[in-house]
Amino acid sequence: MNNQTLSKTGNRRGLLILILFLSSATIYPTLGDELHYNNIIVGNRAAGMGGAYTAISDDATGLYYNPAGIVYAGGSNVSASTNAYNITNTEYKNALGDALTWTRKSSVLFPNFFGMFQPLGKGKIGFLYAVPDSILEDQDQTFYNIPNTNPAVSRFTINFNNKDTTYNFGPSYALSVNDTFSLGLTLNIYIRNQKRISNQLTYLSNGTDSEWLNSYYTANESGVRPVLGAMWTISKKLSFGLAISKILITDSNTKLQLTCKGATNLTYDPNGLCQNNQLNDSVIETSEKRDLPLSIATGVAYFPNRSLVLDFDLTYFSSTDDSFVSGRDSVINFALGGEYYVNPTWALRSGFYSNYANTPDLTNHPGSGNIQPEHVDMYGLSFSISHFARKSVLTGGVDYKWGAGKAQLFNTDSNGKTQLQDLNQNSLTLFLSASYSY
Amino acid sequence: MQNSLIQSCMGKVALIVCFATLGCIQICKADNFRIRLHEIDSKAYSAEDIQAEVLFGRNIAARVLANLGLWQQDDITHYVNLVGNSLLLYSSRRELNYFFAILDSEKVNAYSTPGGYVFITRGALQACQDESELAAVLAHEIAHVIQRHIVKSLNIRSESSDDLLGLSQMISASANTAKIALSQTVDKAMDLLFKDGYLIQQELDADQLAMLLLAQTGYDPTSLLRYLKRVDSPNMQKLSLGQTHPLSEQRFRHISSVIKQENIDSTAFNNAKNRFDHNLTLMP
Repeated sequence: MNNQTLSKTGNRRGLLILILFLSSATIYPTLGDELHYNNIIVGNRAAGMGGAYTAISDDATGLYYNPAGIVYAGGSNVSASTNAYNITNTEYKNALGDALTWTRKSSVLFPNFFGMFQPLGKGKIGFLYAVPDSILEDQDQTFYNIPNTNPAVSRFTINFNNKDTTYNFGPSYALSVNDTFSLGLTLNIYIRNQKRISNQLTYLSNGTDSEWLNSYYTANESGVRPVLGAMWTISKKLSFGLAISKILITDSNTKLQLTCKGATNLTYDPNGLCQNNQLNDSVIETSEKRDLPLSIATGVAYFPNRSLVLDFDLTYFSSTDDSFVSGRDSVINFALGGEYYVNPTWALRSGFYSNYANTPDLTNHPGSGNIQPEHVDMYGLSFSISHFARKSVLTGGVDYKWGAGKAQLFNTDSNGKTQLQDLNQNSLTLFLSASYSY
Repeated sequence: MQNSLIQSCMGKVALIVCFATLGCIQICKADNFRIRLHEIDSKAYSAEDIQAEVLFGRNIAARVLANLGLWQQDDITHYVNLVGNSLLLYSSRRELNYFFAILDSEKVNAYSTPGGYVFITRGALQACQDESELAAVLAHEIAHVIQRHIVKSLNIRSESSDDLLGLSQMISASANTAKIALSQTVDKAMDLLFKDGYLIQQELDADQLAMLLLAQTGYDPTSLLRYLKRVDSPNMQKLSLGQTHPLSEQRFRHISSVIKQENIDSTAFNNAKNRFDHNLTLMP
């Protein structure tokens, strides 16, 4: 599908740079959703610890990270809920020439997590709802007097709306096999809904000629995400956690509708969508299912005393042959988190973690007609504070991620030269959560 | 490239962590090292917690009575209350008002619910041969109350002293969930009493405290072992109400070890057999 779209939008003159700008924005999800695996940290206690939770998981958040851990939870019935507000900024430096930076901004308030569990038989049964990724972009941006364009572009306006949310929800069951070992399984239903609308209007310098290009993209996926977890008590102060998961897509529908009204004074590819003074449209639809990686999370937690716990996680994501982004590299993310009780009613948590891109480094010679997906390795710091009452806990926290990398917004120019853009990305998430035991 | 190097190193670290961890896994009793500081502090029970316990226990007691029925013999019930209240003189939980009643069942068993509701079946009463054995049965049930076995197992706590409760429920939308859970908790308590039974460690702890209460009150502490061995006989077991009090060798050994450790000699205590026989002659 991507190649087909590319062939319709490539090889242009004059406004080539802008058309490809649109094309790349349409095809590639340039925010960190598809290209990273650790976009928004799920849960209350875990979020403060940078997601380093595989070997702890002894509360409702464990349903998401490692269901085997909930057998060690205090209290027979526990529910927890987290709401989060995320702001993500992505800057493509000099995207349209010198000093013209394209900035994409996302801000979204969403229910990040809800989970509850209670004893059932010899184990514990639970249910979780999690939103591990959510993006909401709604912006317009206008650039004037784009340099190095022929004919000269006097104004370029892009209106961009992108909504992309991933949901996980489903039941869990965990069982204590013996005093030192437990197993758990969460069977998540996986749903992802994305809708992206891009509208671009380009005025040439004569002020009477213009090109209009609109794209409407929807992607709806559903499937299952089983998480098999195990937890060992290694010693009286150490525990080891293992969680294996994979998203299996069972149903997928992706649709791209492109509409273009070409300008008068431009030369277009005769096979392309845009033609001089013509209004054309094209619809491409596919039910091809994405291949998503196997995830193996391991963690070691150290409990030196009642006031302190440290956890170190490594999470491996396998490489995949994903037709949507022409393959993904394997990734190993780390997370280091700690929790410290100042006193019995206040606890502080902090974490440091990575969110590496699953794409290869960009090169200056990607091959004709190929646009390389962006590559941004990110790091994050998180902090939270909890106040404990008799049966409930309130937690507030912040999580900040940052990273720099490269992007290729445009195809090779008429001289066959590849232009790469410097890319800066940062993301701030504020979260408020409550946990309640009864 | 630098990232690739970092990831390569991390891969090795991951393998080392995995193998090192798996290699050093050893069978060891799981300690409760996961208990955090706020959980320790919350072990303190407030007046509101005790009120919640009593209300919860009353709810369960009503269900017990509905299930098995009350044996309405006022004189014998009065006698059982006198024996039970004598044990309470040495109870560490004087804040509770205990109630003792006889259930109309020939099965041999006894129950207690949080808040101090203690029941003995007609069959269990008839299985006693003297007052110290009756006191032993009651003392064992009182010990479950004193040690809050159901309260701890089901985390029965008051909500009124939780200053964050309203906000937490608002954020987590769990108010209705809590009401449903309360009903389920009562069901669990009933399962614990009639089906699943206490944990064996809780039974052992209750036995130990019961013997202490018996000795302090002046009853023969060995009466508990004597009674349990009798009702564990094949003839009596068929009258047992399920397996809620596992009369295992482990339990006998534990009681025997406590007797030996505390140097309890039955001759120093009273079994009040004559008084027991006198009162039990009232039984129809």
